[in-house]
Amino acid sequence: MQMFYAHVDSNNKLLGWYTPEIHGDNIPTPNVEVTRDRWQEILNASHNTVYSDGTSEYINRPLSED
Amino acid sequence: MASTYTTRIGLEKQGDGENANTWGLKLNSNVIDLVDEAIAGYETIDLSSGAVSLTDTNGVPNQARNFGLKFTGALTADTTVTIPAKEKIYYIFNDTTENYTIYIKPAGGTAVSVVEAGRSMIAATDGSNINLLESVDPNIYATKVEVQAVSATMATSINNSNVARASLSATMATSINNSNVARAALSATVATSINNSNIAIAANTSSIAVVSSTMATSISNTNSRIAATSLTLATSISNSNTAIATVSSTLEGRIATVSANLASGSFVVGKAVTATNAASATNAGTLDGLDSTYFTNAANLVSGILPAARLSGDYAVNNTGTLDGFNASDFLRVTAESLGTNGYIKFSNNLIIQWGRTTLGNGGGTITWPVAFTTAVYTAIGNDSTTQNGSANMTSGGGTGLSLTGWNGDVGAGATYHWIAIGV
Repeated sequence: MQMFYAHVDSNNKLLGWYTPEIHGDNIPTPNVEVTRDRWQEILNASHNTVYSDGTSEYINRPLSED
Repeated sequence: MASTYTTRIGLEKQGDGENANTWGLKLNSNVIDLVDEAIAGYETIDLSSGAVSLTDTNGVPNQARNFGLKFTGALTADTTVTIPAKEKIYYIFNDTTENYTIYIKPAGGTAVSVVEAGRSMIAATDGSNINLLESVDPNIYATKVEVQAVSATMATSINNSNVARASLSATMATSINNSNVARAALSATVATSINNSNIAIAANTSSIAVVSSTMATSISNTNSRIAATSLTLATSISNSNTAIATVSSTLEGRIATVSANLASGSFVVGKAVTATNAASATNAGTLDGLDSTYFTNAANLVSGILPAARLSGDYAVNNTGTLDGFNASDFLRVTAESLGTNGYIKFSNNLIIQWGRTTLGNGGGTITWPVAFTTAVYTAIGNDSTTQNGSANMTSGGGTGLSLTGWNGDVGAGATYHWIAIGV
């Protein structure tokens, strides 16, 4: 099964998505491993925060505060 | 008449009518005093200078008349005391030192040994020989007492030994008896074992004889079967040789027929053989028994110039052949993809196209690509689905160019962005 890895910062803010099919072993840490279906769910929900247990949510982070 | 003297101890015997007015004095001095000397006198004789002859004068005191003689002095050699050759009895005490022997003898008589120093004796002489009565040696008495004690101890020990010996004898007798009993029992057991062994050996011998007989019968039967099998095998081999000869002859005939067909052009390379032809008597077996359907399936063609025909719908060419002179790497292929509302597609030249819909809150936010670009983002465009003209409102993140991991959308109010990005 193809797996995806959410690279996050210390506040669980999503920094980027990675998968070995494209990035090989070059996957930065820390990251959270999720299945392909879960990756699709997070993308479709526009979530920008991923927790270590695989749950996610959208937290409003205006660019002026970013 | 003149005085005479006694022959033994020299007492004066005055003549009749002599010694008027002095007779009594002479009796006292020449008889009574000398009798006193003879009965109770104890004379010390010093022998340190060697042999001594006791003085012996009549009517006056002398050494030989004394009853007791005490020999003294440190002797330097054996020495002899000579007494008068007269009957006399002496008490003699040897009080000399240095442990030399003292002899005593009557003048002209036979000498005898005086007892050792520290002891005494009685010596009686007849004037020629001396008989001795020696005192008892204190050491001998002590020795006697010790001997008696030792004898008593020995008697006790002997008695104890006898008791112990009797006990030991009884114990030994018991042990010997027990040993005899045990030996008898062991002998009986051994005899029983030997008897049982003999019985077992006899039974085994009988069994061995039976088994030997059975084995002989089996061997005989096996030999008979081997002979029969050999005969059958020989017949089968002969039949097989005959069949092989027949098949060889048939094959030679068919090979000749096929060769003739090839020579006459009956088979054309590249032209499929129909099932009817394959099954016909003329062409049977000429194409390994395969009918035309095998040769019309391109997947069965795995070598030569024909495999290029397999490319239809198949991306897994992987340099297995050429197609008009091109390698598989010359054709652009999809190497990864995820098709959906948010998705991506990656080609064999590493180009990635991504797309999606992302809803951001008030004040905008970051759009994160479905997968991060690995090297560069060439371009990205998009618009929002609400009131804004999205293309004008999409900005690069932080002034650092298009991010490899995402993109910033800048709007005043929340909106859903439809976007597409191209990069590697």
